Amino acid sequence: MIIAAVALLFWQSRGGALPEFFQSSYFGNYTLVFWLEVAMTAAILYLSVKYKKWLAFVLAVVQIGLVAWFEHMGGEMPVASPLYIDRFSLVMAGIIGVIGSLICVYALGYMKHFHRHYPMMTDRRPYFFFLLFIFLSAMFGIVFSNDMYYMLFFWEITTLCSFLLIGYTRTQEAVNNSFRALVMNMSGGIAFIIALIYLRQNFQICELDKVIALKQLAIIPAALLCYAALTKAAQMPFSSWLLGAMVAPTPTSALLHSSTMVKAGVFLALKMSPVIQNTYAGNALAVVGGATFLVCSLINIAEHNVKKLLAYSTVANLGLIVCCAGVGTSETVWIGIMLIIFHAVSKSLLFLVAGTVENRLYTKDIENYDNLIVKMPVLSILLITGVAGMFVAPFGVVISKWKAIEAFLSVPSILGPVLIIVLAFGSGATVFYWTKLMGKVMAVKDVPELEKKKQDTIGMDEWVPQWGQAVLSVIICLGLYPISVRLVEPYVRGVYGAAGGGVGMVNYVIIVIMVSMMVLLPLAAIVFRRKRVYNQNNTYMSGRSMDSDMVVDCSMGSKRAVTLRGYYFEELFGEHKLALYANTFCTAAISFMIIAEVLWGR
Amino acid sequence: MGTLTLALLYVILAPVLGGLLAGLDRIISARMQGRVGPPLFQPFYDVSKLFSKGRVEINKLQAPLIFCHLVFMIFTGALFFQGGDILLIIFALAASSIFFILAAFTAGSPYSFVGAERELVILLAAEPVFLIVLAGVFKVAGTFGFYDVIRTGKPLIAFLPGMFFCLLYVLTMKFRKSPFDLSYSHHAHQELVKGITTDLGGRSLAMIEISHWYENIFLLGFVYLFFAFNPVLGIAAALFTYFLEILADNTNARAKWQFSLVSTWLITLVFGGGNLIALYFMGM
Repeated sequence: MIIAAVALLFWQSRGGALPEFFQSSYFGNYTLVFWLEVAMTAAILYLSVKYKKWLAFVLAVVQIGLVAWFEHMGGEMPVASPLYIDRFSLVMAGIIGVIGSLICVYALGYMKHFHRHYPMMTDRRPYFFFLLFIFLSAMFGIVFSNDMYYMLFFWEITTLCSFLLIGYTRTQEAVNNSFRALVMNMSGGIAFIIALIYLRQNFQICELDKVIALKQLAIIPAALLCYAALTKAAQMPFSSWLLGAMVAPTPTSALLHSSTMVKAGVFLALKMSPVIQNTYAGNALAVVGGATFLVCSLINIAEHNVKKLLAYSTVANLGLIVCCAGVGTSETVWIGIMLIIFHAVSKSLLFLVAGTVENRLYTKDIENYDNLIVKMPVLSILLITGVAGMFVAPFGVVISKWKAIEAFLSVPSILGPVLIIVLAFGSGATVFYWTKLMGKVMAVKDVPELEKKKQDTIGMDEWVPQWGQAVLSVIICLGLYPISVRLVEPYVRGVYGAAGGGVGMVNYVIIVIMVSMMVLLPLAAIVFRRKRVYNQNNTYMSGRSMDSDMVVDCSMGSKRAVTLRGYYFEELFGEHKLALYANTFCTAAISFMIIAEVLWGR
Repeated sequence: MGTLTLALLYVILAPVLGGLLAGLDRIISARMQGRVGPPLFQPFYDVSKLFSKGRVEINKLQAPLIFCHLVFMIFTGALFFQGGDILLIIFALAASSIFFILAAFTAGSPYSFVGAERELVILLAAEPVFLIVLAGVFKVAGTFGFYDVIRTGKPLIAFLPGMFFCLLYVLTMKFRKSPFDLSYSHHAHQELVKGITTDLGGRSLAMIEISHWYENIFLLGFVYLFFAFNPVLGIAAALFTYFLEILADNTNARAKWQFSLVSTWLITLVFGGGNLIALYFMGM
């Protein structure tokens, strides 16, 4: 949080003259970085031997070998400015700083409850928080590094941290899932280092701005970096590592999904956009992103588990960002960045609320979210805010989808119409699964007093971050125009030399009116109606007599509670049905992305 | 006349026109069934009677949600006739529908619940159509504003026949006509009782009726867009569309939701998507 504040102050003090590159002799020390890499590899090797995960072992060896090769390649390679700061990295720093910090605060309260609930687990909380902070620092490193060797180093730290965080509970499932995450991300890391070796071999450069300046000459390393980005952003077929990550305590999921890790992936992809625009690699990337968006949205229709629902929704949104990065016009880059902002706030809020509910009701099933508004009214309002932020107009994510359709319309190739169709179906599915969840939460019926007391057990350390993010999600929506005009649009103009994105003043006014209506109308309606007298009646149950908690009198004097189950359409959209096809398709597209550039690249 | 005046005109006139249309609908339906049918102003009598009833509610949440639904529906239509970005308007329309669905979910009765779930299926089926149709409109007209599209003077229907077919298909859902009146119909004798509106009464039900009138006029405005190069033809086409929907209503039994969803998606993909891709090959 402090780093974010400093970055913002810096921006103010320079009068917004960004990007700014730093020259620093202190950071020129590669040897230190190398030995830290060796230490990290040693840790991975130790753990992979301990848990007999030989694939991870092999990948770690390959990786450190490549790093060593890179280190001893020789040849002059002066790095003028290892660090930089531009408006995109400011946005990222803001997200990491504010949202990451709020999650850490939340983790304090959550972990207390977590260990009370699972007394069998060894309490390693100091270690947990140590990892969280290292993780956040590494994220800052990624977004401020211009020297890509440093970026790789920070990239590997996030891989390692997420691996350790996922495996925190040390159950068999956690260990397996953490190794899956490690293996997938290390394959991305290997692609990253190969890209660096290629760059050093052919161009003697290692700086991000110079790579981008090479434009399509750098297409092969860019394709490799995009591969790394895809693994980190958990796109299909790599989505399983992020889904597996939900075995970890909720703050970890919140962190992985909103402000760190996956956002590093899309950050890199968006940085590569100008290079891969209108290439085989770019188009393939857009196809992978689009397919991931569509399939994950459809799978979510059939999803029962709340955390998995949130995870698939993350993957889907990242898919949209990746798709925007692949299309790579100035408009789509604008959309990608805005989507990163909006998604981060809403998704971390949702994870925190889901975690709080889980710690009170001991359930992850959507069907058990029934009547939450009666059981925990305040928490429900937070949940509804988060969900609304994900799919209801005029909140952020929808704004991005709206702009994405407009941007795809001007794509000159056949990709444009195809992506529009994908987006149209995907967003229909999105509306379906979120409304279903909201409906479950908002169903009203009497519940026992005991249930209503559960909300009181939520402490300040959990309320503050959740309220903070709920308020934030409304504020950034109201502040859409300033954020866009002062931060994102200048960045896009700086990269492309042409204006791109933006919503326009008239639409912004409409959005503000709608946000105000969304927030004020329900409030006003509820406040004014509190005093109004009306007859309360029971719900219609074909005329049977019934209690207020919906226990119906049945024949022979028996009583049965009414239970309602939502639609899931498993035979149409089941995970097992769609995932295999989608993974195969995306694997083919990714292979095409790299092979096509190597064979026929310009 | 400023576009804001037109939007205001919509806010005032749409319920009148919508109500008259509903009255006409009932007379025509009755004639098709060999009955005389109610007087033309019957819908207005119904709604005013609903308003005069006492307040009977299930819970504290439902009535405010219905109110939000109505306000957002009016806002959506007003924005449309003001000439705003139609793509944004479609998202606002979805927001309005979501309020309605949530109101039904709060009731917690099986009939309301199934009605709400089915209304969601309808939303799931219809949402892609609107987005794809709008993409097509933009491809041809180069703009997302109602009046800007009209001003181009292009006969959209000639470029977008497939899209128009898809639109007709989902309008049956939006107008709540058979075979797609899954979530509720105007007759209480179906398997769902009154579906999504089962637990509504009095003012709330009146608001639903009024918002439905607003929605119908807005949707007919959408149909008009396809024939806007000739205003007389446009209005005739909109009215004829409505007549077609009444005809479909009276000649079809209710479809299952599975059929509704799958058939709509297939039709959207083949005709809507096909049309969009055809436009690309035509070099637009």
